[in-house]
Amino acid sequence: MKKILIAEDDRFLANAYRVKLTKAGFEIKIASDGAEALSLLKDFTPDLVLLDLVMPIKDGFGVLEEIKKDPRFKNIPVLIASNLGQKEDLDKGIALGAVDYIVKSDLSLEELILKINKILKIA
Amino acid sequence: MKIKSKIILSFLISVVVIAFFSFVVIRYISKNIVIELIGDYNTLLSENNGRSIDRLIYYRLERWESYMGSNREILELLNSSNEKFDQITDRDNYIKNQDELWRNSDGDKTSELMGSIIKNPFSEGLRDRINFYTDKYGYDIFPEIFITNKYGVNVAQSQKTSDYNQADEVWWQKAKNEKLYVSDVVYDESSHINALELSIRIDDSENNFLGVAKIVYNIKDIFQIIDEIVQNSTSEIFDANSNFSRETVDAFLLTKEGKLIYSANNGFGNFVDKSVYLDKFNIKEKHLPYLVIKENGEDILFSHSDLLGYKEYRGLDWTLFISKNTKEVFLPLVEINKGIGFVNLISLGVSIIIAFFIARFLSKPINKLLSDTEIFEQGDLNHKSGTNSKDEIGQLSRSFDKMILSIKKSRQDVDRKVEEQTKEIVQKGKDMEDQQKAILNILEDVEEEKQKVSLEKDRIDAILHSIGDGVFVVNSNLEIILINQVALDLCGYSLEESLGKKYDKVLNFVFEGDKQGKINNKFVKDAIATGEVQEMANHTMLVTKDGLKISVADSAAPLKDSNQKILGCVVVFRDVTKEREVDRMKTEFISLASHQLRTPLSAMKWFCEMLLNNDAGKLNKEQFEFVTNISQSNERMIALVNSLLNISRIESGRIIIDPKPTDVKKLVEEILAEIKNNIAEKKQQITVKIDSSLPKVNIDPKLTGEVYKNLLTNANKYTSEKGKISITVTVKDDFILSQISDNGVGIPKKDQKLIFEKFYRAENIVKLETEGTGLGLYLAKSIVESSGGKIWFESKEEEGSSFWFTIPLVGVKPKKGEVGLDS
Repeated sequence: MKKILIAEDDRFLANAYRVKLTKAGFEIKIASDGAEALSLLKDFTPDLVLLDLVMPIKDGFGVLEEIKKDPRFKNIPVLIASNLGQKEDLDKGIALGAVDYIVKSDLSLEELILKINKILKIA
Repeated sequence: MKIKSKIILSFLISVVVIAFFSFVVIRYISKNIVIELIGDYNTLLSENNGRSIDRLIYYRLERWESYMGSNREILELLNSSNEKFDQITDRDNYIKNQDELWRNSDGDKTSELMGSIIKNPFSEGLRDRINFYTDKYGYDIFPEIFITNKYGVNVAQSQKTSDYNQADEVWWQKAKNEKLYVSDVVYDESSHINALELSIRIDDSENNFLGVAKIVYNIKDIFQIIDEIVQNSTSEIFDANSNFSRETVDAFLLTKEGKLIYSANNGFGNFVDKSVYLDKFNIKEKHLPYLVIKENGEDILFSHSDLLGYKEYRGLDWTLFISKNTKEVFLPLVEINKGIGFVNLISLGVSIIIAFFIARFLSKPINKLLSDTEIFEQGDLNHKSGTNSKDEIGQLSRSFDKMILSIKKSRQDVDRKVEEQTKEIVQKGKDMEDQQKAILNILEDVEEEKQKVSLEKDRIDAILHSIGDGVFVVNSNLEIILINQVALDLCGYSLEESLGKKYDKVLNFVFEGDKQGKINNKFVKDAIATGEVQEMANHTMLVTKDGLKISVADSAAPLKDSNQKILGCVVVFRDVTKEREVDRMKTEFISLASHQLRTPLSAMKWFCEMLLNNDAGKLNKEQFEFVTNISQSNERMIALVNSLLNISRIESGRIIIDPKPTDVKKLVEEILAEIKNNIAEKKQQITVKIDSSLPKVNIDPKLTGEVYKNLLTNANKYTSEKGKISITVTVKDDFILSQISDNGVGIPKKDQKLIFEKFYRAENIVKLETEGTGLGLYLAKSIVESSGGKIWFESKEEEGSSFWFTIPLVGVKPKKGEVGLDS
């Protein structure tokens, strides 16, 4: 079973993730801020990180940087799921090493899962 | 110097020169002549006197000879002595003994033998003779006489002799052999006399040798002759000048060896060696008659003659010299020279007078000519110098007249010409005056214009400086020709530092985002180059003198003259720091707002999705319907939020245009693929005509794609089922023309003006479809126009609409902004 670490501060969205992704057959863990996300990494060792950008304590970019710095985790694919839709955010995310970037309000959950599978298959 | 003086001077000079030369020459010649005369004369004198001396000596000899020869007593004495001695045997010894006896007289003591001879009557007779002569001549002319027999033995003496026998003596031998012998002059110390010794052979009537007589001859009388020479030589006329008389003339007698016997001026010569004179005269060889010798700084003329004897007296080879100081010789010349000098002076005076007259005569015509030239100088050309003389001066005078005549003529010509030209000049002067007036008028006009221009300039300056934005103008060389105070305040430079300089030295624009601070001044150059208004990119900053950066917004507009020639560029810029700040805040707000809005929307979207997916259990029909409504409303909300975000970005001018070479055909086909389902749903027919020769254009595919998407979805939405949609893309002039047409509901006339506005939806389609943000056309228009194209439409209600838009072939200019469109 593939493990996904989800960083998402909105509880409704987090709920939606939990229901859908668990149903899709993934083992998930949800962090509600950047710091928690980083601390969960070590123990959880996910196959994928689903990363929100706007989070308290540490934002998504910061977490991404940390992940990519750490030799233990830098190979874990990171999928950014944010509601910031501006080109520069997208570019920044990719530049920092995210494998893809989706805008939550534009993508259905089905499409999201398809994307995750695609990434994991590559991984 | 005047000619007269010149002539006189030349006369004088020639006279003086001639006189001088003649004087010198005459002096020289006369000296030589005088020397010759006196020299010859003195030589003659010397010869005469020399002969006199010789004759005198001979005379003495001859007198004694005849006395001796004719005196019976002496003859008898000698005969008896000779007979006596003839008979003496061993005569030599006898004579020797007698000789000894002779010598044995003590001092004054006279020996018997001596006494017998000295006291005999013959000796007395001799003494008487001596006295006789002494009386006759006034001095002891013959101080001693003695006679010897044929054997040389004394027989009679006037006084004692030292020897008895004289046969060994040279004089005895000579006299015996040669009859007469004169010995050279001797000086007797005791008696202080110069004497010759005359030795005479005594013969009988049959010329038998009887004996020899010797007579000492005091030659005072010869000396007298010498003295007389000097006395006589003294010219009487110079007697007054006693300085010259004695010492300048001298006569002196030298022996054969050159020893001085006697000189008139110095008396007895003491046999001083004067042989130098003989040498000088080189008597034996050249026999110069006279010679001038320098002695003690003076020239002395020496004449001489040789005393060669007379008759049987063979002479003693004496030389008689006569010397005369040349000063005295030349004395007569002094008079001559005085005479010459006098004559010269007279002739000089005479020649001055003559010269004066000649000069006057010669210079007269010249002076006349001179005064003629002066008359001419005064200006009188009619005067003639008129000389008839045939010499050069006359010729000159005539030439002069001719010359004056020709000058007169040419003067007249010149005067005439001058008159003519003066008329011309006067005329020209009048013309010039007129021109001058005209120029002055023009200058007045120009001055007026200048003032107008100045006023205009002042006005412009006032306008410029009252504009609230920074304004500067550059010429075609990019030099600042005008800059207002606001611009100067913003950039921090002074007027002096900026005017005339290339603008990028003073006004530096950089991109905010460009970390290198690359200067972006291209927009000014572009304005000049293209002749079109250029705007700086957004987020340009002005770098001040102090290095501060100020956000500015600006535009550059080319300056054109009436012929559309580009003269320069006007740039207007404004400190938009505040606006940027506001913008930034707006953007942040929008970002944040949109994010915050989207979050719950996404949550709703997903839960709806899950519900519809029966993830929470199967829904019944009604439940499904309700959830679907919720979902659809949610989607509209999401779309609205997205559109709002895009619009706000477009309105803030911060959309990034990222052109790349795009195959338009492909782009259109991609968009068509996206909406193909929607078209299929409504069973609409779509015709696609894309020019296959469409070149690749530099456009932003995302943005241009959005335009196509909007127009096509509109066509799809607002056309009924089974309707027709067409899209045509061609190249026209310098752009790509795209046309999207449908036969749908069309746009009512009253709405046509407003359909490009935000949120505007025409009434007829609102009824048709409540969905729709009303932002599509607004967006499309924004994109097309910012890409440099145009968008327009034609529409008739219930017939359909055609929308056109252009994409310039040159492509879209990249625009650095901050945001892209939200897809």
